[in-house]
Amino acid sequence: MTKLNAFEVFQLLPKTNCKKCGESGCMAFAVKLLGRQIELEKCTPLFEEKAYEKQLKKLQELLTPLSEALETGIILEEEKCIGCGNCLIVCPVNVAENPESSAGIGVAPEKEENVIYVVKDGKAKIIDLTKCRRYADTEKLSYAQCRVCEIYCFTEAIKILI
Amino acid sequence: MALGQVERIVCPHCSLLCDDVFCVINDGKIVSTYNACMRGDAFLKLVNSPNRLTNPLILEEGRLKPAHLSEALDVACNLLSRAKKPLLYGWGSVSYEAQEVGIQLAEKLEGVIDSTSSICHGISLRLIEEISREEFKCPTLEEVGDMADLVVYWGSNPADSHSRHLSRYTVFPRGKVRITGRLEREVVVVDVIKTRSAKGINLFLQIEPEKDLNLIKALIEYLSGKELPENVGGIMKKDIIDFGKMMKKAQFGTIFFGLGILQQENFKENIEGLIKLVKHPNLKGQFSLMPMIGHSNMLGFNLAAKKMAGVPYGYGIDFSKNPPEKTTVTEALINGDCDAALIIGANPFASFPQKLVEKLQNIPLIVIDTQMNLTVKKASVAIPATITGVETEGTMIRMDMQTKKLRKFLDSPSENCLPDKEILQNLLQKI
Repeated sequence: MTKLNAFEVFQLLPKTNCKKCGESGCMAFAVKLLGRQIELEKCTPLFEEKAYEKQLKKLQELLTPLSEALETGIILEEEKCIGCGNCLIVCPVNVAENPESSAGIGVAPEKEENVIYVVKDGKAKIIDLTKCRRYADTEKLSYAQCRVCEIYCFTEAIKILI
Repeated sequence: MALGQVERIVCPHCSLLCDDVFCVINDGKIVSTYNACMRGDAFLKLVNSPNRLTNPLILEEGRLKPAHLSEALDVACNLLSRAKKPLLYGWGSVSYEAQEVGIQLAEKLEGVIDSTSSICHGISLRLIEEISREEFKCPTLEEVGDMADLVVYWGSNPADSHSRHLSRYTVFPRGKVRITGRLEREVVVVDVIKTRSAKGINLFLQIEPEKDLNLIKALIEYLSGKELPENVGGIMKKDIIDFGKMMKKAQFGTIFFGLGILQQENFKENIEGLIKLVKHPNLKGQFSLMPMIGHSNMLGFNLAAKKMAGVPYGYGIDFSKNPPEKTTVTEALINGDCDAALIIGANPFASFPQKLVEKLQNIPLIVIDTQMNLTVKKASVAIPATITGVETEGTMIRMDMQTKKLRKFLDSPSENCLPDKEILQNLLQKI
């Protein structure tokens, strides 16, 4: 699992706590970076000072996948998906919104707007991510640790990065 | 959101026959599907495929040329009546009703009829019946979902063959007894490579090729309280004990085995071993075996052949003998006395070994199919058919022996495309 953590990011920052970014220190900056509430460019020393060149490159590599992830840190790569529907049956929110799914039955088209996951045209799709348990806490930057869809995805089409 | 016409259908692609699939239809075409897996979706969309066979074709001067349906039926009829011992092969994805007419046709022609099951899990079912000396019985998939606390996939890779097996039926649903679903179950995969099915499970055992029997024996020994060697077929003693403990603890376990068990030299011993394993006296739970049947209605043919000619699972019928005998497509082709073949709902040129393909190449072929494929290209006459479960109603038998009614929800793409049953009845009348 390619889970990013704030400490890993912190290790690559200047660790000078210069506060130029407007945060209380490098660790706080790292946490906000992962929550995508601040841009890497706000850390000006990283870009201005040659000594940090290698660290910057590593940081950019590390953070690129995150820029493609949705609000809860989730990435769904449709081309990898085989439409098994494990995600939509295992997801507690999906089943709560569409109780039929507790018996393994998929989501009917008329109910698709109520749920997080549907399988349409043989591929899983994310419809309403705001319902995800991980979503609720993004403001507080502490993600609920539910990742069942990632754990049971056969093909690693679903990845949760943070 | 206005979706237009939406139909809830039974997906006719594989023998899971998922009944919660929705098709959105616009202008007589399937524009999108809900809940079908990637393969089911692709199959349903073949309805509108440019590869769709909508015109009868007759081989003239080395080329397939479009013809009238009546003409094509006449040619087919002639080829079949002239043949001394025609072979009628395929039947894996046509309705039970059409399979019955097929068997009547074979009887009238005094030919050989066989389905894909004789090179697939028909053999497993037959062996299970032969070895256990009782009729094959298995729980329904719904019962597995309700009650199973141990689900084993042995030599099978449901992620890539029956993608919805776990999510629709066996592992993830919250069952009547296993009310939290996945959390109350153990899932074990035994395979020679780490397949995609081996993700997110409790135990994966990577067995060396052809060593399944050793593992089965080791498990039986463990259950009998005997000491195990350190390593069996590449699997550590610790893992076998873990597996054995799961089996001992389980109240309801099902082993879904695939062709990995069957396509080995000692396949008979494998099945025999699995039967011994699930019937071990030291298991307190209810255990069962179920083969991962592929084609949507392969079982239908077996049941029809059993009913109409009394042949066991995994066999076809040789009506040239009196009384009719059991036979298989392989036997019939290798013996070489079949002098014409009717292929329906199968693509043997793509799936048969070269030896058998060569045999087929030398005899006139009548092909009934919905799509242009390799076998159609080699046909003497090709007759287009409608897709069962989409453009034709019919009955199919799910992998757990449950009967599913499929209905018609789209019109035939052309007046030349008739349901399989009608084409066969037509031939039956003409001959």
